[in-house]
Amino acid sequence: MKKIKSLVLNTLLFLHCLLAFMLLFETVVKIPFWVQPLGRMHPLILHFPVAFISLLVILNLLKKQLDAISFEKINLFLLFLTSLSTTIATLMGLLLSLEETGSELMILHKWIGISISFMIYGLVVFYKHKTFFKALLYLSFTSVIFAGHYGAGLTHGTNFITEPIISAYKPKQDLNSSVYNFFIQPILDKKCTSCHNDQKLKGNLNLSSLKAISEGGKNGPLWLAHQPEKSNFIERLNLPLEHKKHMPPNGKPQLTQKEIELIKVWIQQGVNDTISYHGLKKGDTLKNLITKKWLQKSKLKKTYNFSFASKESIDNLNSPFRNIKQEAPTSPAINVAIYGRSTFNTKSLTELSEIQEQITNLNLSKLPIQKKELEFVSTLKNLEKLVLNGSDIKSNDIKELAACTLLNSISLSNTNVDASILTTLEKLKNLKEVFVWNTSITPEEIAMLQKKLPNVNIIEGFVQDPNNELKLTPPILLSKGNIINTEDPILIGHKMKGVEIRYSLNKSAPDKNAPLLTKEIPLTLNGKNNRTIKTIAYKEGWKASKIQSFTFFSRGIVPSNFEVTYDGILSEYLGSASNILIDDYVLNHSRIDFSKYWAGFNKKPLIAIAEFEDNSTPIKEIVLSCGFKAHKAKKYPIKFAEIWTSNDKINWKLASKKTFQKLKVSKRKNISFKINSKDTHYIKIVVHATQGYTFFVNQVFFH
Amino acid sequence: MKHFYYTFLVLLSISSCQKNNNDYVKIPEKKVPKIVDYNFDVRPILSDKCFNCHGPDAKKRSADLRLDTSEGAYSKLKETPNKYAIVPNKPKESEVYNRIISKDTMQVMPPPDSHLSLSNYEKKIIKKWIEQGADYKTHWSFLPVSKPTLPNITSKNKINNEIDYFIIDKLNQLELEPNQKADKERLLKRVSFDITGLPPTIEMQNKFLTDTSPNAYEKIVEELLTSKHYGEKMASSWLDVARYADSHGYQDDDLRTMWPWRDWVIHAFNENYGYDKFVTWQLAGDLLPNKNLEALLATGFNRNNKINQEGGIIVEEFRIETLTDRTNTFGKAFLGLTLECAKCHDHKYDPISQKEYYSTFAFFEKTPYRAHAGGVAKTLAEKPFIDISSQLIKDSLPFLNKKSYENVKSMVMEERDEVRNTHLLERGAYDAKGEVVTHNLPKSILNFDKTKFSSNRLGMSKWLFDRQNPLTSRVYVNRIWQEFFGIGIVKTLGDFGMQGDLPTHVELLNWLSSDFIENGWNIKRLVKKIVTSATYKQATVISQEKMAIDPDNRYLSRMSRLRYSSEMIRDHVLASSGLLNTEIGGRSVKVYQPEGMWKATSSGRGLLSSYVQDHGSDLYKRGIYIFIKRTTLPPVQMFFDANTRDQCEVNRQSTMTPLQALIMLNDPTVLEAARVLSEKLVLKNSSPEKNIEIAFRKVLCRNIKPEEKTIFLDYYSKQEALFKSDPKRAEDFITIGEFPSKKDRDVIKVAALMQIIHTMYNMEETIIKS
Amino acid sequence: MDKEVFEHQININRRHFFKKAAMGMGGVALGSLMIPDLFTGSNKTAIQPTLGLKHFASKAKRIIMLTQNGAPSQLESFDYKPKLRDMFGQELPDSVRGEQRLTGMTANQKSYPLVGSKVDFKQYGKSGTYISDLFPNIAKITDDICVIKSMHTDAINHDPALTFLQTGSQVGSRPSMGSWLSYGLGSENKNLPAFCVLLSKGKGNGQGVYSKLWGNGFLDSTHQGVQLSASEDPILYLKNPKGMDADSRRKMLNHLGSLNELGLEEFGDPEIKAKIKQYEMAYRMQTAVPEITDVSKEPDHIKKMYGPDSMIPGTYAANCLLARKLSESGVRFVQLYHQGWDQHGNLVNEMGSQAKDVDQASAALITDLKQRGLLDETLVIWGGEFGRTNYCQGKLTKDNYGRDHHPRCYSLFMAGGGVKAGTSYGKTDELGYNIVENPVHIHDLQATIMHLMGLDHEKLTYKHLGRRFRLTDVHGHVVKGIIA
Repeated sequence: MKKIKSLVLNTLLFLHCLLAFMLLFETVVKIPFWVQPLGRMHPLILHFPVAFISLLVILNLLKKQLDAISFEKINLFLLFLTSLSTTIATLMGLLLSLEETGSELMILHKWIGISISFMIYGLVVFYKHKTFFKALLYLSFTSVIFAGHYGAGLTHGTNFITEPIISAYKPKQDLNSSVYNFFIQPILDKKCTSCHNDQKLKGNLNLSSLKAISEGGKNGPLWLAHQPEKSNFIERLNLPLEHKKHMPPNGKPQLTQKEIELIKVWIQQGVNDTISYHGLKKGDTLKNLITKKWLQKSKLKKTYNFSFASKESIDNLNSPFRNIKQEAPTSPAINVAIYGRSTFNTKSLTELSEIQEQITNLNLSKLPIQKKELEFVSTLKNLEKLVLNGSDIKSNDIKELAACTLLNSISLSNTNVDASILTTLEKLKNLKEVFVWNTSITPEEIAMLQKKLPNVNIIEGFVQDPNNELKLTPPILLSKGNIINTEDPILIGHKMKGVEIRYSLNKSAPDKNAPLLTKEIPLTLNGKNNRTIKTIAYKEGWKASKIQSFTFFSRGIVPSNFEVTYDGILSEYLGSASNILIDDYVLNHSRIDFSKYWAGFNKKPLIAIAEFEDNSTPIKEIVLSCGFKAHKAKKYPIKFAEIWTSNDKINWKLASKKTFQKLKVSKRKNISFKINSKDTHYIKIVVHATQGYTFFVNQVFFH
Repeated sequence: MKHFYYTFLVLLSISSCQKNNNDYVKIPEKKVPKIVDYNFDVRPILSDKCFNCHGPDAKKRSADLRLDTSEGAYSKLKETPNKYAIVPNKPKESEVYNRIISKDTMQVMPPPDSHLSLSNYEKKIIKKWIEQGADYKTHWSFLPVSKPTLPNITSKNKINNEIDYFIIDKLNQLELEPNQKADKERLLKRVSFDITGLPPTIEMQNKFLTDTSPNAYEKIVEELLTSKHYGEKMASSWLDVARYADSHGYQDDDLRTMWPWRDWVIHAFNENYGYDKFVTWQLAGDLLPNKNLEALLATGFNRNNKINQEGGIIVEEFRIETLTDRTNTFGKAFLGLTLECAKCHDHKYDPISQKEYYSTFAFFEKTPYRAHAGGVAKTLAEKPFIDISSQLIKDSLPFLNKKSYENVKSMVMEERDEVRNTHLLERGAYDAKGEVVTHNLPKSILNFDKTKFSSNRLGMSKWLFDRQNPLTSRVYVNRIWQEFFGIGIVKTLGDFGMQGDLPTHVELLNWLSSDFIENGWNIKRLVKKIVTSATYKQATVISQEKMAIDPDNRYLSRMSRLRYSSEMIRDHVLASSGLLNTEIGGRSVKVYQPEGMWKATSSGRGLLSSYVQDHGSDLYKRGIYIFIKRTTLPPVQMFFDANTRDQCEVNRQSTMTPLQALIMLNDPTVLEAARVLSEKLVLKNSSPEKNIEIAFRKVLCRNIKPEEKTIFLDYYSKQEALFKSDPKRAEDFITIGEFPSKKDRDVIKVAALMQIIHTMYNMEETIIKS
Repeated sequence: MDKEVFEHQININRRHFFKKAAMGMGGVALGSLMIPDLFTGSNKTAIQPTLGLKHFASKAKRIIMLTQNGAPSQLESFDYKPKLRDMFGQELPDSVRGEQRLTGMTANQKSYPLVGSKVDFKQYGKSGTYISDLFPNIAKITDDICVIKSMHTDAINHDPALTFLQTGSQVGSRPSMGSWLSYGLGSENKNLPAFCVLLSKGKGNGQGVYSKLWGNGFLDSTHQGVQLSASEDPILYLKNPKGMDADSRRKMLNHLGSLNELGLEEFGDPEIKAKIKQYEMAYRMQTAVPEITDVSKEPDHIKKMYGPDSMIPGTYAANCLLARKLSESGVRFVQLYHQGWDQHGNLVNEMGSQAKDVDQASAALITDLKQRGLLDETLVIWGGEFGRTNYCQGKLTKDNYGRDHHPRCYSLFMAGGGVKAGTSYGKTDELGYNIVENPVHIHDLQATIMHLMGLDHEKLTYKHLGRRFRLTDVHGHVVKGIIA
């Protein structure tokens, strides 16, 4: 006994030091995670001290009945047990309390608990002083009762014990009790009485009972019978949320439209505090309102009876090719979509077995899905929606799905399944919709399926109306540029596969019998400055396109060097005339304005010098493709244009000059100079704008 | 006695296990400090969770209770008399505390539907603060800047200049050791990019590596600071602040020519104008007593705002829009405050009233705006502007780099002679004119003493640079700091208010700021101070421990590994390959860009409806000169987190997306650089090994490691074999970019080496401050 | 609080013990639930988690938004006003106009003559909704769509209005709706961007678009809308350079990988890991995206459904087809813009050709989603930035006229994704100038769209410069009336 006694005393001292220490440094101390479980055993352990101390008390009450020695022994032993278990329980409690901020209740519980621990330690220490011992014992016992009660409050809610009694006092409400008691007071209790009750009378108003309400508040009566809009109550509710006088105050739970409406109507009907739902006449507005909006079961949101998959497994199963998402924090259902035909294999599916219970929505579009895969799918007992569009499934494989009894939607579009899937579909009792667009199932069969499965919506999808053919888009130019040398290959094609392009190079419009254009063809200009090719597109099941013609311009003689003294207005941003004038594009239809297609000149003239190293073929004609803002031009934008020729770039000879004053202004104009340029190496083009006007040049040709 | 011995054993085990176990370190219950400081511990909580409804904004105040002032918090509650929000020293009697710990959803604060809630730690803080007397203090950043004394550090060996004192001091508290000094090569790359935005040349590398003198580093820093490229580097972030762009913004988004202003900024940095002069000229250059053209050009700063050229705008609506932009820019750029929050209502967190907002607004009341509604084309600049001729440049703006024959127009500031009152605008709506207000600036920052400051933009700048102004220097110093360390001492560069992050080293910030002021707002000096600190010179290695304790490196126990800005990435690629056109200034250039980007978004109107790419040397100018069309940003800038230039921005994100990888892999700019560098090296016809070594030094700015060399050599031989077997492919691969290719180049070798160099450009370290 | 939440709490956060503590759902829980999203590489995720989960269960998973840029006239499309025809040429009563401000274009117009639709309307579907003859194909699917006739907005000019529609704010670069959803829900198919943008132009008077409309604002750039171009390089820089095939690209990435591994050994910086991942994803995109964007393999009946233009890249029809393919492959938000609806004059002709370009493909898209069983999980939105005036701008003639901007009322329609199909919501007065029933503000629309996607527009916030921002600013109410 001696040994035990000292051991116990030491342990007790140690434990209490620890206890004291932790109290002192409560805010600083970190509870390591491995200690937490201890803390959480508090609610378990605490039952021992409670039991022990009760025993101890009983024992001391029955002291007379026992012989002194054995009493002493038992008493001391029991006391040790009590004190040890108490301190341990307390310590654990303290650890636990560190995990949470103290609510009032908890703090109370905590301190009583601690004091008990010390009191009982006291019992051990002052064991010899009998009277003191007794007093302390009973004191601790009573504190235990309190501590216990508050403790229970923490885990079960404060009025856990008293609740049944309290609720028993509340009279049972039903549709025979007054509309006010059954519908309206509850609203007030929910949204108003926290600030307007017997204790707390904000605005001197109490909404806890009809009687109290009838007394009104500092702003007079709450509601006026038959005049909801004049009623203070409704007014306040309807004020904008930000408004100072709006009730309930911004930030507090607001009344719903449904609730406001009900109260309004009820006031409208004269604040009747006795009439019950059943009491109301048939067709009465209030009655209708209640039946419609309050009694009908609102579509309750789906709840699942299976548990949540762990975040870990969801994370682990997610991959770049497999997206796994829980439906929402409040829903354990999981949606799975798998992507990437090339990377897919059966394991991509079977790996999901650890979450097979949670999968409700599975998307396997465009994957090589076959029997083997569907066998796994059949193990997904909670599967509701399955998408197999464009996958490799066969009608036979579908049989596997019979096991997925909760399936309500299957998408089979773009697959080879046929009408034989009916046998499987019939087995799926929850089936609502099947998508069979672009499968081997014929319209007749669809009609048949629909008859066999009246509750299932079978979606056939888009059906092309055969006698309403669409017109093809015209052919397009695929080769680059519309300036060519004779015999240069040109390529005209179409974006749609399987289109036939027919063409003609003469006046006649191309038709079905016109020559076929399959690849690029060389275009002979036979001496002309330009040539036009007309094309049309045909395709089975489509109307022929409109005729599209393309004009190609002869590139003529290309200067070996081409420079301008001034690059044109805003050339820093729109590109230099030296490029624009000899690029390979002539624009047939584009807005004439400063742009990368048009070089513009006004104050400073266009002065371009073209060099021809090889002048064996003399240049007979020079063409400037010009454009003007014709609509607002009163004068002709070009004052004059000159062509100079030279052999040495120093001595220039005027070869041609044009003035335009008389001319009428058109949007576009090809200015042509006929010259005679025997053995000249340089040709200079000079164009001056009319004062206050701008002219644009798009291309220059030398023929 | 020996019982206590046990006790401590246990306590030891408790305290020790939190260090050992990493998971536990990551989610620590923050320790509640012994003395709770209002500014640093309490206000952030109140400000974030309470002031929205119980703050400065009188209109939105609930229950007529304000918690941002002691008066408000200590006085009787209006709605529940005989109760108090806060009773100093008595948390239990303070409603504030009772409400935040209440479990009753009707009682608890903040109310559930605010979706805000307090953590246990925050609750404990509030409690302790009340217990300690619930003492209110002025917000730290509104207190005048005073120079603190250096903390005393026993071990001086880790210290190079004042900065280090403060850093080391904090690190000691955190029981963290600073990293070793970075190796010379990496240090050189780092500092060279930080100061000039360009990589160090091989010559520079050799010089620095061989220079063993103690001040070798200082010499390099001096050299870099005198480089003309310093101005370009510093300018690039200022252009974000100034929302600079080459188009007007909004739908039609036509051409604008503000580049002369941009060139001035570069000039100003290179000339090392004091920050006070630099800013005063931009804010009020037109009002200076002694008029000068350069200062006038500088005022373009506040003409960089967007202009809506849409037909049928409501003139007044966009006049207000423009002035608002200038006011907000003032608040964000110079005061580092979210002034704009006070446009529609009193500021919810900071002591700035709506009235004060419009009093600030008043300073811009007569500044230029678009006075007509019709949609107009080709307005490169709206009045007033300087029409800059070549002559004018020769005479008074020599730093401008104009090539075209035409004059260039650059918009500037000028007071319109209109009689206008500034009205407070209800809800910030342009047509809801409220009371008339007069020139004034937020007094909580610094009282605008009309006897001292004139009531115009000049007075405004005087007020900014008054010794008593607590924000100007702090805000700028913090921004510069961020350019070098990645995160500001105050993380929220644009919010020094109560919602902003608190400084990690408030003393350091104060010291630098006052030092900055005392030395005439000398920017180069500040930069030098930073880059010569031991803190800056640390290596970037990250230990597990540092990762766990300070993942964001707020306390600088190492140098952060920061990704380059979009400009730096381009400049590095061009410079290292020798393609860079080092010419300073000039009109913005249009470099390689995928087909049709502008066409797709444009309405087809205006000069910028389709993209006309530049050619020749213009293709190789620095990133800062790339043409910025607001409605369609250059892709590289967009993907590498450059700002949209819609409004003043003081910070850039640094994110990581696959699109960035795609650019580095397939952008012709990078491929061309690789090709050109490869051609150069191959022509020297030395061994592949040698070529790889040189290329590596140019791109990574350090000597290649053996293990790296093995990888490259192996890759090279494979590539060479591949291209040999298929020369066509090699030919295709090296026909990239407009830069003329060397005659008689060895196609196979060039292609193979190009592949290697391109891989180097894609290495993580290449575009990182390592 | 329901059982699930409790269980759920337990399994996500074992540190809580008290039942009461287990009740507080919110940021914390969502945060800890975050599913790591490859599209966000850097450690920033730790600071601002891509929440990655719906706030509550809902049908819609993806959105396709068909923005008709320039503001199509509601009076020639979905808002039938016979009275206006009778009052042809009569002055707009001031009583009706009230305080409405006018644009700079008509502000100083002498008179405001009313003009009814030149185009006829007929009733369609079970609901007997009126739809104009300009939209025969959309009319055919009336029972699948929900027309809102009571939209209204704050802005009166294109740029601010469009910006308002897409970002919830008229000015400033706030995150676009798509960015918010990418931030809130993450991407479904991690080999594709979560937010794609497709642009096209009609023949009508155009109003440009701008990258700000699909910008990520202050959100992480990973939520930026990715613009797909009509060229053979659908995403910028997606294509390998000439002379480099997928195989040699793979080899390069392998070498690059081992080099970066060396860096990782030296510095131990987790960002290097992220970088390696980032390159791998880029590589996957290079194969995944072209597979989807290649429409040439589409069967003939698809081409007929969407119309012949669907084969010409960059047309509205082609973009609709592309939108379906992207959405089908798990792209969270596909945003289309179609220019050319700004009919200040010559409305009758221009609107005709605009409608022709748009009608068939829009209807086809919805039908196509439906026949694949994807319509209920895809929300389709069709509409512009504001409406047009009931009076004529410029010269009024018997058979032609123009209409100015009108922010006070306009129409748009939605389909799929949990929207009440075959209904119309809201009403305007008989002159089509003011809303008389169930107004829907832009912020309400945004709140509703988010709600349909399972997000609470008040909860999805982002703290930036000291303020919690959200798509709907501080406004917006979910329009319950249009939710099935």
